[in-house]
Amino acid sequence: MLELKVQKEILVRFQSLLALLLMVVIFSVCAEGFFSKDNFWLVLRQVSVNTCLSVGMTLVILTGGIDLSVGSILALSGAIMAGLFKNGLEFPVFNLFIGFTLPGAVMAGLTVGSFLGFFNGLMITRFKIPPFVATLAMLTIARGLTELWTGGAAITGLGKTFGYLGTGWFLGVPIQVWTCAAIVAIVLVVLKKTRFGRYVYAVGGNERAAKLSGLNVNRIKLLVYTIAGALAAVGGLIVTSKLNSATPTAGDGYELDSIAAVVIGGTSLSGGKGSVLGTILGALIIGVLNSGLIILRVPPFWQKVIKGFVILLAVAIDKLNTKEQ
Amino acid sequence: MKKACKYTAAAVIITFLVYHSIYFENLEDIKQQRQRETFNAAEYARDFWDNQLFSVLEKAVDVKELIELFNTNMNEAIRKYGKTPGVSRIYSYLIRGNGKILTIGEDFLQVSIREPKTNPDIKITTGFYIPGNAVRDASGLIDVSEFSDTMKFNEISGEINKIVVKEVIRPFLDKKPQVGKTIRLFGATQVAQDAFEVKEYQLVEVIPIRLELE
Repeated sequence: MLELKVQKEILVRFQSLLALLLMVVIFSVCAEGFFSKDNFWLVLRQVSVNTCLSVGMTLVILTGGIDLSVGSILALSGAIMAGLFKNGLEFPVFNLFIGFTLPGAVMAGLTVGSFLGFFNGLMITRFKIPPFVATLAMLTIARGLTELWTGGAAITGLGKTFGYLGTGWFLGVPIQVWTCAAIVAIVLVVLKKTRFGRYVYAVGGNERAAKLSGLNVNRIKLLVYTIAGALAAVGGLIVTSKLNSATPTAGDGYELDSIAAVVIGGTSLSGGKGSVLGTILGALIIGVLNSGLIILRVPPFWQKVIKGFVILLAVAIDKLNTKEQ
Repeated sequence: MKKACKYTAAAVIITFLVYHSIYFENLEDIKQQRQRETFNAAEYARDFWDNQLFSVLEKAVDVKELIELFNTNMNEAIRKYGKTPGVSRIYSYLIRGNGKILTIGEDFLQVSIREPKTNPDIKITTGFYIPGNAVRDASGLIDVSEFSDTMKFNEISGEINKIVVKEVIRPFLDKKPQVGKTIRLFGATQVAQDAFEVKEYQLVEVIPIRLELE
């Protein structure tokens, strides 16, 4: 009897990993070419952008919030990087042109992403606007700003150096996968080994208790949303570099994929419970599912339906487990 | 004191980063420079045709071999000979070969490549308007990332296709090709990754780069 309980516990603990392995096995058998080195790297490359966004989203959801603006922040940051790098800034009144080097343009994009995240945090903590509403507004604001900045057209022709981050390889691994791995490693360490990490869980677990025990909840939330914005900007850098262009529609709907990855990875939407590793598994599950369905030539509309059901299934299983516990 | 050190270090780092991030120029100079660099697609295409394209024609694959690969192992065909400027399901190929003219249409020739040369294998475009990017992409010489926008990249194709009409198709048609004659050709073709999985797919459409009657 005890053994059965232990078995069940193991199943619950590793359910995301088991689901991922099961999907890999199924697609390897059913979809020709799925289990190949090329497809392995392809899936990892496709997953890397969503992972960047999802890691930030995990922090936000752990504090009991939500960030619907990450896709739009991604687009605006990418467009800022591309626009500054290619066109610089013109000040006709002073007959002045300010050009940006590649690191300069990237830093500017990351700063914009961080600032927008900070702005989200500010609205949520100072003006007590619910996260759903504040970030929904930012979704529209950032998308509008992207369209204004790009003039509604793609910014292209950024050159090979810019494209290297999205298409280059280092030590046999795509650069974007390195970038993503570095981000995951840093956030993992921050969450597990620092006071800030424990505070994030504390705020999400019971905000009132966290406040009463002397934590500066607003400051923690502000920081979390700023980090989410910065990570969305990193996603913007990867996307822009990969396509060698910045389009005003980039990142459209990415917020849903990142929320899905977090939820599938077992992070509770009410906060306080979850992990970055779970989110990585969630992102991989979505990536594997996308890849497998494409190779099996499932029509795109059906792919969306199937993905929706997988998310529902993940949440339903999670709820059942929580109830049993 | 400690605080002062902190602020000084921060100021030094920020100054260093800013110094390596931006540079200042005279706006008028930049505008003049941009004007000088205004893109001329016709000139670019002319240079491509005269000085670059013919150097890669020797790498063109025998169309007979390519069609066999299309039918037996499309992935191998793509890996060995296919070119695409970005991520796409459509790949471009530079081809060469000999064949017998079977049909002469208003804007095409149907040519048989494979023995016994009774069934058409390829369809060579001979119309006076050529759409698409087959020649540009099959050459593998022009990198999309070198262009500031996709319009310029596409303008090049338009100009190359005009050269094909003027310098390949018109002179060839002036020689009055006839059914049964043998032709030698270099050309470019674009084929979708899954084109040969469709049963009714038969002819490989070719944009000519060189056409000679034997």
